[in-house]
Amino acid sequence: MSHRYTTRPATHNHKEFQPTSLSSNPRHSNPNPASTSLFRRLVWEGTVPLEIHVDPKELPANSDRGLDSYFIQAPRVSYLPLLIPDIRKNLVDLILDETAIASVKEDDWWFEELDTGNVMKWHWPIGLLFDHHTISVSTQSSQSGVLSTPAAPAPLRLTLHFVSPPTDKLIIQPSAETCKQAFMGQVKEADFLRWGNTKRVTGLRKQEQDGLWDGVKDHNFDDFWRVASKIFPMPTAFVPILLHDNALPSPSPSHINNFNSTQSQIQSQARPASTDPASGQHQDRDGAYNVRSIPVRVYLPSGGPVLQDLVSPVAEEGRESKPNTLRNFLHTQLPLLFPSPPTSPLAYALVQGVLAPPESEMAWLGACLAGADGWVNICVGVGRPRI
Amino acid sequence: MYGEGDALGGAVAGWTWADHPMAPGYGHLHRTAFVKERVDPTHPADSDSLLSTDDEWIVDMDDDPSAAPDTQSNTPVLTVQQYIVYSPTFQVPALYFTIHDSSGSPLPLDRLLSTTLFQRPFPMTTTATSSAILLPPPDSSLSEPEDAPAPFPLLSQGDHPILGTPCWYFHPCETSVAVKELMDAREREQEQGRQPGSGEKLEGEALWLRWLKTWFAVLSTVVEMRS
Repeated sequence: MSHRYTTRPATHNHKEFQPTSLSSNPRHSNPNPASTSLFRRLVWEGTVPLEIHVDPKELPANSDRGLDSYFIQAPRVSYLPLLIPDIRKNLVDLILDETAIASVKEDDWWFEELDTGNVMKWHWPIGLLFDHHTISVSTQSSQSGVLSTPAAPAPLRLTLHFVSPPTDKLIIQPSAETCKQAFMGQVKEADFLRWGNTKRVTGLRKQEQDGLWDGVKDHNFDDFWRVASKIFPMPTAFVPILLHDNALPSPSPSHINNFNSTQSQIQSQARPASTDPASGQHQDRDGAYNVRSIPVRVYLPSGGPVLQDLVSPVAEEGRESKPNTLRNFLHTQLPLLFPSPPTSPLAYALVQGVLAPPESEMAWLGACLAGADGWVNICVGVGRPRI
Repeated sequence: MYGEGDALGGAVAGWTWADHPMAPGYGHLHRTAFVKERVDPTHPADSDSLLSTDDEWIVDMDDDPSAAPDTQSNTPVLTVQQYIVYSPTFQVPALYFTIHDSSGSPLPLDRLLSTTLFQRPFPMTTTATSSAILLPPPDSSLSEPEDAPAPFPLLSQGDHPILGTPCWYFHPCETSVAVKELMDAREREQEQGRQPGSGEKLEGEALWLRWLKTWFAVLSTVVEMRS
């Protein structure tokens, strides 16, 4: 287990990993299942460097203080509690003497960022913790106008504590079981956002639902996607169609009583036409451009709120629909940081640690660059990126 | 089944609006309430004792004056921070809360359930883990154990959508379904003349208000909402 974390070469290099709409025509997007699988695998294999230090104040007298840190190349799609067995075996058990090892309770373990003291939320994916740290650091020491060359990123330095988890900042009882529950909750919320119900997830047998979490826990791409492919949308071909006059629905009280009304309105407006009705219907029902909303959250540097809003896969352009892009989405969420072209943006967006191109389609991000829980986590940093 | 006006007065009193410090307008409703742990030797504080003997919804909230009180005046007071927050995923309000004892420690789930925050008896069949209360899925008796659909969470822990701090929350899905059923039923009764009102479809603010009152009523079957 430890070899997998410590000797895997860093794949966090944004030059190799540029998500784009692969077709030269920005309207007809990526229908290629091989490239979908490629990007999903790149996300799965993505890792970030962590440097774990034990709090010296909590070490009992007979501890070995010579060994004070442990480097882990941790998967972006994983979670801190899942790293604990590795950290235990390769750091903690080596430092503590036998009596201390017997008495240490993993339930009380918690992590904080060494430099800032920010408590690490153990129910956030590790990739999100890292990207959030990246945008928060760049805001604090902003030197505008300097775009650094791509280099191996500095590790996220964490202090591991054994006792007294801050209960006002962390959900109580951070066990692997509560981590799994939180994960499944996010999977269901993503399912609900996409389709207006959670039937795809609740329709899975319990064994399959457990298989999702086990795939993350064991970091097995095939095991995970065997189940995930039943609930994640596929980026099928998008065909622009003519919209009616009242094209896109806005929230209104009638939607309170009928969750499906928004979904059916978007579907009826923007379902791609197909020459073969039978196969087209079946494909499009799970198509990325047919979801009613893509599960997206926007994270601002430390102290800022986490933003979540409906994200339609399509946008209007005159009387035609076209795929909703990252630039368009960020402009609606944060118009001052992302003004309309040709004005340059005052901020940048990281998705899975990569500077996402503004023309990236939101539907494609939802299908190919989401985390294991189905969410596209966009970290917005102010100024010029320093990665 | 539910009345407007005075019957809900306690439920809707005492809420104030709070903005996120960095995002004016992006906020939630907040209220502080105080509850106690029930001390009743005949009903040990475990989830089984919270089940009603029938699976009916208990809707009569009036205290029976002849029943012995199950808290004592010297029982320590617990502080509940209640939040009504808009759930961006489910697009309806959701009730989030934290509950601490006098030393500031958060209560674990088993103690939480035996406080006066929760109605007794609990109006539905549930199971509890150490960190969530779950409702059984429908028709679970019909499947093989390994094929059985997983239970739905009713109450679990999550980040407050605005503050980002950990809270307990009731899953908006469940409450929304109940609210919709009640509103549909009331509409039908109005059409049949069994309820006051013209039966015209409400719109806009009137509809929102009716929805919110119904939501308070639904939550009140589970949580003590009077301030």
